[in-house]
Amino acid sequence: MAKFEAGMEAMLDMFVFETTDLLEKLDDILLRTEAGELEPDDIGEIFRIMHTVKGSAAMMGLQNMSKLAHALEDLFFIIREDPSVKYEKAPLYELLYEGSDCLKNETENISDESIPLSDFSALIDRIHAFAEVMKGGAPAAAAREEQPQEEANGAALLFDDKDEADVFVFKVVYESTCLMPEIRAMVLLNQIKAAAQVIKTLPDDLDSDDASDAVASDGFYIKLKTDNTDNMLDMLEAGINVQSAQVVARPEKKPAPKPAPAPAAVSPPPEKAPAPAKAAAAKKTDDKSGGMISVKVEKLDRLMRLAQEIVIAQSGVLHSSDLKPFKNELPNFYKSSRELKKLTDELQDMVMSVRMVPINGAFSKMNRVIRDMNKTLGKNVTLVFEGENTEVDKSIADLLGDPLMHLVRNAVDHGIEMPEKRAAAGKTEPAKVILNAHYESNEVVVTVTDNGGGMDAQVLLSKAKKYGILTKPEQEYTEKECFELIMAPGFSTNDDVTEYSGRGVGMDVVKKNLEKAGGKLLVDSKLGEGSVFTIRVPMSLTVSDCMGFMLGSQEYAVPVSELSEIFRPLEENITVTPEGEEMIYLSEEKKFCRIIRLAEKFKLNGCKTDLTDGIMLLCKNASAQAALFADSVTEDMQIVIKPFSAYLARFGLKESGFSGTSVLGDGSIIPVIDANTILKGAEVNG
Amino acid sequence: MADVKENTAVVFRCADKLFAVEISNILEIRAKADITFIPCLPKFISGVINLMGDVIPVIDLRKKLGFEDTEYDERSCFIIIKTADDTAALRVDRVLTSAAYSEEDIIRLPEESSVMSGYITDEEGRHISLLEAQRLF
Repeated sequence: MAKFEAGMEAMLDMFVFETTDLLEKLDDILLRTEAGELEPDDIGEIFRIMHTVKGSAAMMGLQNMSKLAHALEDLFFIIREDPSVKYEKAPLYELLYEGSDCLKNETENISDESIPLSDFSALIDRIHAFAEVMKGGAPAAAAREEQPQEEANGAALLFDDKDEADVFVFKVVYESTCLMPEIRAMVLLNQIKAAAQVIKTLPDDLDSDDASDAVASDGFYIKLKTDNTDNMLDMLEAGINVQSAQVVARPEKKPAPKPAPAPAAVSPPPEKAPAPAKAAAAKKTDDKSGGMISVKVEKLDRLMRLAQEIVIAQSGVLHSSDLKPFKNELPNFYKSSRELKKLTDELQDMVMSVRMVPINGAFSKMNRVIRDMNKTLGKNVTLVFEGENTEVDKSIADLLGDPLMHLVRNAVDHGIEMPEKRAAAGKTEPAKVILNAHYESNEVVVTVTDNGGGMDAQVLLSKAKKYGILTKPEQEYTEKECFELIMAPGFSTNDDVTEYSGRGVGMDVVKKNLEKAGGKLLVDSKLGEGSVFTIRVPMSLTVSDCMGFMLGSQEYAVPVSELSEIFRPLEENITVTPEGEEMIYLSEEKKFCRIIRLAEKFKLNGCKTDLTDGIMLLCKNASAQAALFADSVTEDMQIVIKPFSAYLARFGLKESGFSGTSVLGDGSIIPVIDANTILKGAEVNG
Repeated sequence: MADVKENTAVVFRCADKLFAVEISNILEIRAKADITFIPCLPKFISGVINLMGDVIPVIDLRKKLGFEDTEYDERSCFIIIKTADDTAALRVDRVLTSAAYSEEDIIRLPEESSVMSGYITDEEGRHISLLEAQRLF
């Protein structure tokens, strides 16, 4: 049995997405305003968020969430109605954060039937109590209950003398137990709209604050144009929680409705205060998002493939062999085809860029982590972002969320010292955690740096010894290897296990998860100065700058980031050692460098063998350098490197020196070499 | 009603022998494809092709099964095989027909070590080797 209303499965994804999004927005506002001033715009926005969450939770049949959101909404109703109302800010924010967390957890667990629905009544009671205290200071705010309920004979107002015979009015009554009937009515209305022409409804604004009461007490009236009333009735009765649906008889004769009061009676005049607040809130969202919509990532994937297919199909058409005989007779065709090519190129670029998101999204979630930890641990840590606009593929941004959370928590909990200790150590600069993102060759590098106590290699070593997780004699461990011990399974540096960091189980899991995605986790530290954790993940879907080169009749590519120089070798610079090893003298650096013939390495035939005939690709990494010999270079290209499929990867292509392939704009495939691995291979051989 | 044949397989020829692959494992059949050679792979992988933006390997069935290596002609086809984990193009001499069969029609091999699970027999009494898609990888 699912936790939410039957028949709502289809809405589940949307609900989770929307609610999570709203709650994140709420957190943003809270973090922004906690230290400063709570503007009327923000109050309106929070009210709107809670109102929406309440509504959609009720629609899903999640009464606990709906009630909690309702309680929070009420709080902001009071504040919104009377901006001068007195309240203590700190406890209010505590309630809001707690509420936001509860709602977030519940949303996250909604699909997991093994976790029961949480009971929020204790929190709700506290919120109500807080509201009471607030109200005590501002009795005027209770005005909400006293809204006019004049619905004498609303249905009559829906009829108009000019109506044609096929216009009917239906009345839908909801079960008394139905929570938020106006939301149900809205869902129902949308269904009906698809089948018939809806002229008017009563209440006409289901979004208004009192629509719920109106629907619950008087029922929901729909005036529509149909030629099949039975069909409509069936449809209405099939609606969720609908108790009954009936056709309202047309009154024989009625006084012509006075034009002005009619709408007024249908929907009570909007309250003065909320209107501008709502408008302001709406405007603000618009400003921020610039008219954004959210799209499922699968759709983007599909779109990207389609764009690629279009390019391939296009080249099939434009270069069709059928066209050859008419090559010089089709000037208009070729003109149009150039235009088409321009457009498809642009389409492809656009689709690529759509998938890229600034890493900011993953970073800004850490604000909340720091805020909470500062509250409980009292370490007063400042979070600094660097390169937060670095764009990464959506999948990478999602992947980074969890590791970042772990690393930031660890940095604050284990890394940063308590203020007294910092003072004693003579550290004057404020405690800081720096998140930095940038590109390095074809990887995204994210570092988490703290200026805390750093790690003591000796302490780590003796701890690891105590836990019995050393894999070689103690004295053989280098400093770097000591630091890496904290990523070993079952290691903890903080004797006091806190609610944030646990027992050090985190680090090895973080490392493993990153490795699964082809990433790496590195650590460095300086005792007394702080630690740096570095995440390196492949850009995978992101574009890298590569240089094309030929070997025989086939083109290959090498990432430009791995290349340091391309040059044509001079006869006099080539030397062969007595062992038969070919070397080239680099006159600028005044040293020799090993030559690796790629054709030999890849066991290819039909490639150039005379070294002075071809070209040298000088590659360098931290520990080695070699000149890769190829036939010629072609052109610089921006390509997306895809790793090999699981099946192909089994044949050791990575070890042979290939990092993957890339599909070019015309649909052809180009293998991409990994110079680093080739250099490593050369090292071992040498 | 006569016995219902619940399975269908695509029958193709490779080096004068008949083979079949269960149709649910087949994505599509292509007449031609631009193969890109990738060095350092076993001989039976001719290279890779682009399938809707995915780079998938081409398995040369003749070489995979150790038959004589002759040139492919214009009738040779690529059968795109998809299993739960992998997708690959199987290069065969020519695709002939489809055959309906039921589980009982399969004369099974005793062990599961071969790429084929057993034989089925067509109307003309010819043996068709039924290939197990998963075991091609």
